[in-house]
Amino acid sequence: MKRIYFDSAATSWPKPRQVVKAVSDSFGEYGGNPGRSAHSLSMNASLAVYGCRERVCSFVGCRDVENVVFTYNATYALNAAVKGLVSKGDHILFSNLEHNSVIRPIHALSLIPGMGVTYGVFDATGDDDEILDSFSSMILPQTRLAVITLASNVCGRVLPVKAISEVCKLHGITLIADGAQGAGSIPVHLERDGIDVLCLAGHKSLYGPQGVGVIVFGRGISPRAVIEGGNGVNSSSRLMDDSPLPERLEAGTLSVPCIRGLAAGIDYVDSVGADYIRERGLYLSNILVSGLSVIRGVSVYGDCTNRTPCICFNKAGISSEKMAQYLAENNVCVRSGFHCAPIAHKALGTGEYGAVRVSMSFGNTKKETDTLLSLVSKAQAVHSA
Amino acid sequence: MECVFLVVSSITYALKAKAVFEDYSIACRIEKIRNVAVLKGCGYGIRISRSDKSRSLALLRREGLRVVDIIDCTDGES
Repeated sequence: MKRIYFDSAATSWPKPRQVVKAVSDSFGEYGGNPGRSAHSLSMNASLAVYGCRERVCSFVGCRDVENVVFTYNATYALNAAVKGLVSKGDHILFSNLEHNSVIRPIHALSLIPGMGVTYGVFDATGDDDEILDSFSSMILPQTRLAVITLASNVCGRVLPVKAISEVCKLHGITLIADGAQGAGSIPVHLERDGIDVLCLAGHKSLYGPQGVGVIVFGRGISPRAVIEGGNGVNSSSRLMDDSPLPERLEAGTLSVPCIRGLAAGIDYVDSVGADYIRERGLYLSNILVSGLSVIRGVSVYGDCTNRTPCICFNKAGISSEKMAQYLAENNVCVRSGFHCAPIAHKALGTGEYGAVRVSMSFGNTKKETDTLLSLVSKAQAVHSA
Repeated sequence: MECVFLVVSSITYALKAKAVFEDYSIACRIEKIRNVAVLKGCGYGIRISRSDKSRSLALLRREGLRVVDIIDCTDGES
C-alpha cells in the first residue's frame, strides 16, 4: 500500500526534486567553507549562501540582505532572537498556542537570578478580536517583547499578526513571529505584517532539508550574539558582538547543502504560489474537517475557519497514540501526543491526553484525505474487535 | 593597472557591494585581505579600478555600506 504522509508540520515529505538536487550538488563545486577563504570552492559556497539570503529577502519582504541570519533550525532561531534581544527587567508576552521553542527559552530567562525577566501568556483560542483584547489587556509598562506563532503547530490556527503588530508599535514592543509553520503555508511579509523579527524553519512548509533555520531582522533591530566562535570576521576581537549581522549570529561553519536546499525549496513555493498553496490546503483541510465532524465520536479542536492545513482531532475511546499507531499500520503517517506544545493542548482542551494531528503539504490529494477519513471511521470497530 | 581595494566588514558586505557595482557596470573582484595584521583580523574586500573610486564610494554610501579601509594598490597587490 502506498504511504500517505500527513505529518508535514513535523517535516514536509517528500521534498521537491529540485531541493534534493540542490542539496546533493552542493558537495561538488560548492564544497568549500563559505566566508572563510577566497579560493573558488569557498567563493562558490559564499555566493550560494548570499544567494539564499537574497531569496529569503524577496520571499518575506526584507530590504536588507545582511539581516538574514542562518541557524540550524527554527528552535535555534527563536532562542537566538529572544535571548539576543531581551534586557534585564523585561516582561515578555506570548500566546497559549506557542511551541516549547518559545516557552522554554523564555521560562529559562525568567529563572536567571537577578535578570528580573517575567512573562505573561495571552489567550489565542478565541476569534481575532478576542485574541487582540487578550493580548492588549496583558501589556505591562515593562513589556518589551512579544512572541507569537503565525500559525499553531497543533490546530493550524492563523493568528492576527498585523493587528497584534499595530498594538506592539503603540507600546514600543518588539514583535518576534514564529513562522515555523506559517511561512510557506500562508503569505508572510515582514513590513506589511509589521513583524520586527521573523523566525523560520527550512524543512517544513518551505520544503527545504532539515538542518537550516532563518532569522530575519527588520531594520534597526540589533541583537546580541548568544553563541560565540569563529565567523570569518574581526578575528582578533574576542567579542562576537564586534561583528556585524549576519555573521554576529553565525558562529561556526554554515551548512551550504541545507542552505542551497532551502533556496530551492523557496523557489518551489514561489513557482507554485503561496496563495495557491493556501487555497489548496484549505480545500483539503475543509474536506477533512467536514468528514471528521460527521464521524461518530470524533472531536476536532480549534478554529476551523482561519487555519493552515493542520487539523487536530480525537475519537472517543481511542487514545491519540493508539489512533496514530493504527493509522501507521495502514501506512498513514500522522503525529499523536502533545506536539511539543503542551500549553496549546491545555488551551484546546486536550491537555491531559493530547490529540492526533493531521498536517498536510501541497502534495497531498483528496483521495488520500478520503482514505484517512475511511480509516478513522473504521477505527472504533478495529479497536473494539 | 592602478586599483583600489575597499575593505568591508564581512563576506556578506563584500557580496552586497559587488552586487551594487555590477548593477552599475563597475568591474570588481572580491578578495580576502592580505594584511591581516594591520586590519586586526581576516576579512574581505573588493578590488576596483582607481578611476571608479569616487563613484564606487558614493554608491556604497548611498546603500549604507560601510567601508572599513581604502587601500591604494596596483593589480596583484592589496
